[in-house]
Amino acid sequence: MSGLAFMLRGLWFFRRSYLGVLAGSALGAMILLGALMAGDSVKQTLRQVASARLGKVDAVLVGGDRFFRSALADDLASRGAVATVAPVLVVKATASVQRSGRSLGGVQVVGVERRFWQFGPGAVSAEGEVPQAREFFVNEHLARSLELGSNETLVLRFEKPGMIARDAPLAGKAAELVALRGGVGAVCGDERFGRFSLETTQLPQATVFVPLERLQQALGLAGKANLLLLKTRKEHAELLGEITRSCTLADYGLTVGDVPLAKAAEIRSARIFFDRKVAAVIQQRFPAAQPVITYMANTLAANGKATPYSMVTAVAAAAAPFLAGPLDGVVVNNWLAEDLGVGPGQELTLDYYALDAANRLVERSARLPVAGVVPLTGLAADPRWMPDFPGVASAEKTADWDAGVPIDAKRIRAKDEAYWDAQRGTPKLFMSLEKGRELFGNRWGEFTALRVPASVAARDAVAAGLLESLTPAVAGLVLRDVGGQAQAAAASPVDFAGLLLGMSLFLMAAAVALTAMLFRFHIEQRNRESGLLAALGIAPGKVLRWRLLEGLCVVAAGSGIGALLAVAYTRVLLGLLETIWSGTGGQRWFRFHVEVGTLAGGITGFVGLMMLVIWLVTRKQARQSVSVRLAAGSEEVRRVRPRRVAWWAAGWGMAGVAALAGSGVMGMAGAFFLAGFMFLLAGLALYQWRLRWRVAAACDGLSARRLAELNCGRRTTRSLVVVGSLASGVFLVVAVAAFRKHDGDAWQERGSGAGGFGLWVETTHPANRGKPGQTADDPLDLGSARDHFGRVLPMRVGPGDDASCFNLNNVTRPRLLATEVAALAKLGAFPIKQVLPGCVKSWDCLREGGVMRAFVDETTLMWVLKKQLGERLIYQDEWGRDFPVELAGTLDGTVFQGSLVVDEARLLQHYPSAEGPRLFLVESGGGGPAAGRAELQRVLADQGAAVSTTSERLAAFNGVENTYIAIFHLLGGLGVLVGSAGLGLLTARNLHERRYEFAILHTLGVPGDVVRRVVRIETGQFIRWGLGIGLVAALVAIVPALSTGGIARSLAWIGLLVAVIAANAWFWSWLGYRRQIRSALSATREFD
Amino acid sequence: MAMIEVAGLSKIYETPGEALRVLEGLELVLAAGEAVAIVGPSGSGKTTLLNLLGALDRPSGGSIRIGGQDISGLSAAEAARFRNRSLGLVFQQHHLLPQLSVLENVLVPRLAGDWEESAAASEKRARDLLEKVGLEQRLQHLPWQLSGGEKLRAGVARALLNRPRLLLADEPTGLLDQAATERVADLLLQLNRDEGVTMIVVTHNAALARKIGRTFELSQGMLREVAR
Repeated sequence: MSGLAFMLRGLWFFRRSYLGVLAGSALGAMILLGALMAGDSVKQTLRQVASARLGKVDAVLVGGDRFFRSALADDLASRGAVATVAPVLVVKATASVQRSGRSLGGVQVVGVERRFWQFGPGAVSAEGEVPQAREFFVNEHLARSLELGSNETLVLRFEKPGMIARDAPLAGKAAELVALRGGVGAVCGDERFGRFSLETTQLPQATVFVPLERLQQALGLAGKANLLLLKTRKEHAELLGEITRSCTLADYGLTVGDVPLAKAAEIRSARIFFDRKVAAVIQQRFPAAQPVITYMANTLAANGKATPYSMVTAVAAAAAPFLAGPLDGVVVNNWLAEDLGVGPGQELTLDYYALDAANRLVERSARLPVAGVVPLTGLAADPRWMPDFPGVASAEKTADWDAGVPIDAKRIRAKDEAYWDAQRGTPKLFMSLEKGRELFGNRWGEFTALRVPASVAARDAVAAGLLESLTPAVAGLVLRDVGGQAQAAAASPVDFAGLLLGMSLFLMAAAVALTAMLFRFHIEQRNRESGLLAALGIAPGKVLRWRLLEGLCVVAAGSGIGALLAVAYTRVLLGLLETIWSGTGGQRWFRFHVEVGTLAGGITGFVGLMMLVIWLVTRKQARQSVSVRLAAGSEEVRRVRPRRVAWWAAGWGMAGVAALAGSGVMGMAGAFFLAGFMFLLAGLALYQWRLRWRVAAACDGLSARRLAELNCGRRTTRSLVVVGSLASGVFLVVAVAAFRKHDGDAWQERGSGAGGFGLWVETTHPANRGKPGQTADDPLDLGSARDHFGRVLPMRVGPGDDASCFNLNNVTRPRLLATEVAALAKLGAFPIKQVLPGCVKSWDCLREGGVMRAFVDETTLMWVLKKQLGERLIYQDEWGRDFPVELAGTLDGTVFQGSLVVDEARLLQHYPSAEGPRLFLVESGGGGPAAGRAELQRVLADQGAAVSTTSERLAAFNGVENTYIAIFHLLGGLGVLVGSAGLGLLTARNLHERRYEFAILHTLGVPGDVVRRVVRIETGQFIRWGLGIGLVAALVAIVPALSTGGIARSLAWIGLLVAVIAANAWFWSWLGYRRQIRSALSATREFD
Repeated sequence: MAMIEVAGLSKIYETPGEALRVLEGLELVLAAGEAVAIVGPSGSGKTTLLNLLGALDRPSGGSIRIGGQDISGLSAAEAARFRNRSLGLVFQQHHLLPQLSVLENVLVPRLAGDWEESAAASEKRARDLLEKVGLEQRLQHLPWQLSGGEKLRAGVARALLNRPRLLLADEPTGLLDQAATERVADLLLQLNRDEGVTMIVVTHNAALARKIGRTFELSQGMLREVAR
């Protein structure tokens, strides 16, 4: 018989004994592999979502609110610069179902043509699948959200985008809503590119696909797009070069025309005001270019007379020879001089609209001396001085002006209309360029035209020169390599495998400890065999190898079973995780996936761990002398004397006290948790000491209690494993329970996470500068409903992605939320937890420093960004240039989770064209948040506003953490169950091993009740000590959490948990007792 | 030439609070092929002595030479090899492995490997030995199917598989009745004669001791030969 055959024979013979080891291994492997598989599944799901979101798109050219020719796509294609290219027009809208009236705000409307579908993740769609002229395609998420049936008609309402930000003065209508109606032609799933989105999130975005041409017409943007999808293998720089070479001035929003009267070529911007960057490039290319600023004066007044609504121009004398040298005042044309009765040496007043720091339209006034009068002839009578102000340039009459600022038509006189008829926008007043910049410069720019003298360059040469000098980035068109970024972002910031492994650690440890204990039982059962083999001269190493091989076979088989069970277990875990993301419409969206490498690595790692444990257990047996083994003496050899164990207990206790003392250095929570853990170890050492001390103590009369104590101390390791498992279980479950978040009802308090604001409002369209009649404190334009609410805090939404715990993607640039932080500082709103050293613990900190500073929720900083205070994140400004944002402070559990809060003024420095506020925190009125939400939803229906209460938002964030804690509890609870099962097994094993001891007692006339009492006392001791040690240690660990509030609820929850654990432990030990007590007592009859 | 030379042998067990001296300055010399019995009261150290002679335990002092080899300082692996090649051990509680048949139990020492004898030759010897101890009808039986005497005889057959120079038997008849004891004693003496194996039998059984012949009494850690 070979060694292998001998080993296999043993394996089969002891199969029942090995069953427990097999089950323990299967459980351990299931937990480990389940965690790894869940990690793989999350990663794969995110990769698939990224792929579904972007399909075959490698790069995009993003215009945002800047529109370029859709023909740019054709130009790029004809150059062979890209494999595939598609122009897209993307806007936000509110979608309503005509039949049901259901509506949804913040819907992504994507204007597409045939080429768009070629980018889908699946096979290229047939042309027949393109939405027809009066047809929309919608994605599954929108269809589900709006409960779309077949043959539904959808109405899209969106704000017509302006060429210039609607925030800007003279930008035309403040808001122009248009509606588009169409039948739902198809519902696009992920395979049909229904998930298309540039936002880095795994959550689907409600989307409607509209024929590009129809959307262009509806928006008044014929032939325009604001997004190019590109499929190419070219490197970024090379691709950018190709795009630059394909761009025309129209793509940059520039035109060049002749101004014969000025003998110059004039460059104009479709955005009216030249971006400062663009102006700088032009001036660098053509140093002789003369800037022009033309603006609207509300009133020009002098001598008690007033001329309404006139154009005024600021220009250098070089560009307007009729001004005859540097101006020391203003020059008026003779029409105005006559109208106001002013002449050189007199003063006039100029009233005009400007935006204040809070972006409110205010009327300002300037007193200007009149330096001269020019006749209304020649260049001074050229209407080309005025740019094509939206709503003005094409107006028939002055009274028809729709400049986006309040116009009082009653003030317009017949002579004003006559002037408009004859001279159109010819300025009535000229001033120096410097004065014009001072008065009319704004964050969108200063100049309304740049004139290059014909002597320098003709029109065509100017156009060519501009094309050579400009780049898409300068014009605000940003090329992004989204393909690579998406895959990088799909690497979740939360390592779910690690997270779940961490959560399962105790359960794993319990399973491993139980398996080790069962293996030890098995090994003890074969003590004599081991001794015999040694006595017969089989080398110890060989016996050890056989044992290990047997163990390997069992563990490997257990791991195989565990791997199969892990599939189901993973699905349960994923199901639990999915409850976090209710935004997916309750669908199961995590795709089960496992990598071969992960599976192999996991199984290998687990088998390795188990073999290490088995080796330790087996080695201990091999170290016992042959004679002891032959005598089947499975009693433990005690190496550590009781006094030494007492020292260990004291040492761990001291370490715990030291950890408490160090709370100032490592923080309260960390210090108390560490201290709790140290007290746990101290408690276990104390228990060990007690076991041995009681055994060694002099017998002062034999009783059932004494017998029980002797039995507990007889196999110290077994007793310690059981008490340790219970204590650790109680410690972990209770300690974690205390961190359970309770939904706060303190939202009214300024220092709460809601900052005293009851409502969170997000609108589809930005609230731009106020409409006529709109009060400054009514940015949402609530009108008469305004009185029902308290303070409204508007916030601009800057670039970046949602980095809250709802987003599984790796977000490196969280969304910027900008507001007037001085107001927050004044209110003392929101809990600021920590700020940079040297900073004041106030919102004012964000206005200081050389770079843009931000406050971030602590959860986002710690778990998503994984950064420290003082570190900087790099963002790209409006022109694609990098700039840093310094993390200057943390907020404690606020509604701002997932965003960086910055000062509005700082944001506008980097994004001068930023749209108006789209996010509002509103103090609910007397009716409370629920009533306030209903009213706001009604009033803001047209704006597609999503209104939620801040309590709901905080509860949702807390819900995520509580879900993790619930999973931890579930796994920890399973661990306690396994530990309790160990107690049951131990009870059964002890009774089995001691059946002849009981038989002796019986023979000596000791009643069976005494035996039962002994067993009860032993079990009671294990449970008492296990629960006691765990509970004391846990209570130390949770002191900081208890002090933060919700004590009563936390304690009640903890009490319930401990009671359940105690009951469970009793149940299992009772089960073990029931299983063995009969056979143990029946052994007494055999003995008889 | 002496098969066993024991000089100044002592064994002390350290227990919490005291040192238990079981053997102290024990001397013993036995010639090859001799058969002796060791008797003594319970707790006198008979089994301890046997464990030391069988390299199952280490002495606290003194030396043990078996066939000229000092075994008192052997490592665990060397001691195992020594037992596997040179010793036969018979236990009171037979220690048959429950998962193996009687024949396989006898062949267990071969598991140590590196036997010069082929597997087939070992199996033949095992069958011969089992025949010699009267178990030729029980080859494929499992231990639980044997009586106490049969188990002991199987254990004796196993002890002889390696053709030991020295056979150590610890209370071989302790659990047997008078008739079975007689048969086992005859068997051991026959093997001693046939195989020429040196034999030490530890026993409480005076009849068995007498039957073996030369007898030593172990008392207070010392051996004293008992006159016939």
